Amino acid sequence: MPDETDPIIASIVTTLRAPVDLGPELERRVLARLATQPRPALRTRRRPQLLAWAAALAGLALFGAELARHRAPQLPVSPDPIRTVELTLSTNASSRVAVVGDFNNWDPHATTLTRRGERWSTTLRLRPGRYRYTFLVDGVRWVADPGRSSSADPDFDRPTSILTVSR
Amino acid sequence: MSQSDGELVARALRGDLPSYAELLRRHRRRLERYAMLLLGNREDAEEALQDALLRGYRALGQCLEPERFGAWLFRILVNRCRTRHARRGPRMEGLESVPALDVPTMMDASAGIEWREEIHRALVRLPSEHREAFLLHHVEGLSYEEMAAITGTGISALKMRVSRAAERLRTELAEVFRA
Repeated sequence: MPDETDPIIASIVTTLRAPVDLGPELERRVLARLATQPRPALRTRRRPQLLAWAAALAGLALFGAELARHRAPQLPVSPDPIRTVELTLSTNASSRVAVVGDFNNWDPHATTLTRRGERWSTTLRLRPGRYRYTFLVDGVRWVADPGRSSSADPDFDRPTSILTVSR
Repeated sequence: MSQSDGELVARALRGDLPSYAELLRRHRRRLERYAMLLLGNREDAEEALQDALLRGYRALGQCLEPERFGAWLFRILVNRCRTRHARRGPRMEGLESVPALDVPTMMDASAGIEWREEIHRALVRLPSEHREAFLLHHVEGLSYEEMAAITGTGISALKMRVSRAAERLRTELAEVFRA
């Protein structure tokens, strides 16, 4: 909040808070572009996914038990395995390196790397799939993973690396 | 009775574009002000805004608190402004003589055009991270915790930036203010 005891700062803040109007053209352009795009995708929720897996497995177990009375045992159906992936970055960061990506909803506070000299690393546990991610160095600098293929993120213009976790 | 942001988000998620348009109309003033004040010119501000609004629609399913859609979209804009600024380079900073921002403000003219222009000039001369911190804290009213969540910067660093920005603005504008 403004330092109300300082009349200069209070006046600056009051002035800067005046509404700005860029006109309706920008909104029209945006809506025209959106009209040609598919509707937004729904977020994949991890918890319901886990519950669904649990329910499915429980159902399978009951079904299997019933079948076992009449048939020979069958191989159990297992979910995708969880893989361990280490991400590393060599950088002269001064305070903090985080990784943001599809696996943590691009949250800069979800996954920080541990420092050993100039080498920063973290270990992720991921299901098979393709993930986009990037490093955030000292909270201000985006850095792609030099060890993996990268591309420009169309949404944020930041360098983005591609991680493929195989089955 | 007008619908809540959460209801409009739900309708937009079902493909109802007019609902998203209504959300934009509700929140655009704050977004426009921040983009203009941070980036300093209309072209960059419109570019950042357009990217944020498009991104907001595409990522709407990731808005975890639909009733706080405005704050969520603002967060996207802050990131867009950062990357926009980083991409174009610090072309305004470090200059002793810069033009005032071309801000199409809705403020009453009696509020003092000269004072406003001097503020904008001083604001443009601030290092971008100081300008960002000052605007987020003083103009947008965000707490340091909220700022840290948006920017990924530590609270102590943010406090230092706000303090230095305020001190520099105070120093540069004291004479004009007293005049």
